[in-house]
Amino acid sequence: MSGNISFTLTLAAITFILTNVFGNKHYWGHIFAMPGVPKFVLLILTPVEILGMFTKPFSLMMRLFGNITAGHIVVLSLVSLIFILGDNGNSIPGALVGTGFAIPFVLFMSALELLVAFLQAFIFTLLSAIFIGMAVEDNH
Amino acid sequence: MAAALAAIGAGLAAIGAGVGIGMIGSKAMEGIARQPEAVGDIRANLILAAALIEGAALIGMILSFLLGQ
Repeated sequence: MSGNISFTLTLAAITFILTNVFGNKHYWGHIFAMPGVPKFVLLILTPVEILGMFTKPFSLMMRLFGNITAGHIVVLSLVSLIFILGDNGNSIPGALVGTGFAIPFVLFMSALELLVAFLQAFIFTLLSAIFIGMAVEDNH
Repeated sequence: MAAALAAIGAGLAAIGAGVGIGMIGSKAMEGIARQPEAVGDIRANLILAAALIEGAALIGMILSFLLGQ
């Protein structure tokens, strides 16, 4: 499911909506009028800050999608090795060699993909919590 | 032509990930050698930083995969 970019896009959009709905005056103040900068620097800094508001959930989306899809591509390549060596069903010994060679690698890569998926889901949740916490904190 | 350049781009992204994670791994090893009782904290921060660096490299790889078609 995370191999579909619409799924991670939805999760990142939820984080984006939550940070902007629950952001208080300090959060919007930091984006539009940072205290202690002269006016002409503010002209350059405001588009950069607005762009940063969008790139943070975008990077969350791309990070989770890219990790899951990279794992899927490696597993698909190793499984299709069976079909390449078996010559699409024409050569049985080739298919057996391919199976004996590819199945252990597929098991190992599936275990690695499980570890990476767990880690990336934790990273997504941690960064979302940090962004939402930065938006609702009171003091400085 | 576009597929060849996309493959080179993905390889460069992998080099970037390798260099970054290698640097932070070496600093973590030095930290553990200097103070062996802080292994738990250093290991947690190492995994966190490695996942963030890996995220950037995989964003590059996915972009090269999509634009190389």
